[in-house]
Amino acid sequence: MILEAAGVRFAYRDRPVVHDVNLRVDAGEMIAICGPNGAGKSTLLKLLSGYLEPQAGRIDCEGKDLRAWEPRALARRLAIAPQAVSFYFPFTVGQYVLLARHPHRGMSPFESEADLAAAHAALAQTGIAALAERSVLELSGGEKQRVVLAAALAQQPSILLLDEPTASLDLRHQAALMAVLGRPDRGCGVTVLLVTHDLNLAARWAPRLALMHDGRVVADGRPADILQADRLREIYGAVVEIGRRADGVTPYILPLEEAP
Amino acid sequence: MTVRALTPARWAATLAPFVLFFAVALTIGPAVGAVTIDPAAAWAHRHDLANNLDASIFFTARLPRVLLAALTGAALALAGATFQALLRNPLAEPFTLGVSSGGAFGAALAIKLGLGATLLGFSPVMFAALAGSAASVALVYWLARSRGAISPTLLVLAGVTVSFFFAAEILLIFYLSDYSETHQMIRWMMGSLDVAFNPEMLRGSLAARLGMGLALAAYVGAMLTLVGLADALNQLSLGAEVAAGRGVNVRRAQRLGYFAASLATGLAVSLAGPIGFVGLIVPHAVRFLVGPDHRVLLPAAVFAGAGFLILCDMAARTFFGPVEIPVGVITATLGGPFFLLLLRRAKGQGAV
Repeated sequence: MILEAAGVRFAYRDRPVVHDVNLRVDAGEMIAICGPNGAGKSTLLKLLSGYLEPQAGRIDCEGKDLRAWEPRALARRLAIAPQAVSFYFPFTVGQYVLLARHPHRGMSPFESEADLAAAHAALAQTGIAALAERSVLELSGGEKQRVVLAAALAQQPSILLLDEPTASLDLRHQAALMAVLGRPDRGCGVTVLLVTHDLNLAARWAPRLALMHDGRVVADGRPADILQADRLREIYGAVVEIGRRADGVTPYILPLEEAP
Repeated sequence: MTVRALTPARWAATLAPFVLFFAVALTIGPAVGAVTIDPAAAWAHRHDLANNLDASIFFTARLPRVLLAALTGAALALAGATFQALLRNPLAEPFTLGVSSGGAFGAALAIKLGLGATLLGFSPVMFAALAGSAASVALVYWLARSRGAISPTLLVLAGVTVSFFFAAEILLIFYLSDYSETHQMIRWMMGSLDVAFNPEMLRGSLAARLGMGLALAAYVGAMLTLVGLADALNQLSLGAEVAAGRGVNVRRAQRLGYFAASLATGLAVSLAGPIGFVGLIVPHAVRFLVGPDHRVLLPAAVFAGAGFLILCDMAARTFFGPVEIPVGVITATLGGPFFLLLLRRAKGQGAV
């Protein structure tokens, strides 16, 4: 097991956001974390990355408590692409992605050939090599999102945590991104956890889906088994129509109107 | 090659023009002034100041000033660049968090109370300014500290509030003072690079040597700490969560950066008064020229800030010589138009 959350609880002041979450992730898995707004998905991702500390329970990476890891050593294994990253200074896209090599550089303030190669590969994988010399202050929403993802890839982690990576991407780029993440050979077996609102993308690309509601993981398994109309109605309070793709298994979901 | 890595060769090549600029300023700074001197003659008589006017002016009147200008300019530019990264706010500068108003309050209070005796070669006004700076730094940190990462918004809000508080107390002291005291206070606030030190003094007094040694050590220590934080500041300038995700100890880096930049600012304010403009504009000008990578930006800002303030002080001493203009007036007068030109160019290149 590469990542394990056991009895994890977290509250902002006195407002509990994550209750007693248990999640076991094996190396090489790709898991989509879905759920309504405010279900605690992003907070769970921040806990799994070590940015927030659980107030109860523990999270282990490779069998060792996140808090016991040396920060740089952890950052070489685990990278997070946060939602809505803001840019403040005019780094070029290439510089921005290279900065993600920080945990690999050791004591050297300079980048090595390996760092450069990792940055080039990440830019190519996310299809933004042509933007390398552009200032990050001049990017569109979708370009920003791919730059943030490229930086996380350049960090060459074994676990990749992504918060809404497709939120501002158009159809073509959504599919391209999910294809990069969903490929079995993705960067030699990287484990991917992605928070997303898009149940269709999750169903199409993620072999495993964890559904969160009110700070708990209420269902965890194959998307085809989990995505059922009555469950979604209960959790989201929305009436949905569920269809099947030509394979007869993969569901796709269309929201109808509010539940009466 | 579309992605350019920072290599030692590129680092050195980017910094070289800034080092050259500083070297030129350092060479002509003490040679130029209201009185024309012969630097060669001054250097030849460097062990015999009493009997040679050139040497006396060069080593006693000008060189200490030029060195103080270099240190002050370097410290303010570096602290400004650091605060801009820490607060993720391009409008931040060394005085944003109230260091200068605390210092000015201390100085005004010392002038009002007429404190006289010197300690380790420094005037009481200097110590009072340093104490005022330290008080405001501690107060702002105490207001903004939290269990995890410090929120930049909270820090700025605390800093601005503390600034307003001290500004009000300064007004109160003004109100209670007579004209000559008020004039002294205002003159202090314009900034000045008049130095109490000269080689004669240093030869004579152990206390003066100790005081200068301490000030220099604190200055250099704070600046080395900041340049050493360049990597962490790069990451922090992208956001606390990004920095943490890349293995930066966010709390430690924030605290170290805040206190080292505050120490550099506090020393600069105590020794030379709140000289404005340098700490805001030099980091921006340098960023336009070399980009936002702090591994290059911070050392470049040190040399640019030092050279810039030496030249400003030279102008202040020379333009209306022998009458001196406060250097704080010159920094914005000379630097403003230059910066506007840079700003236009940067806008054209999309770097803003």
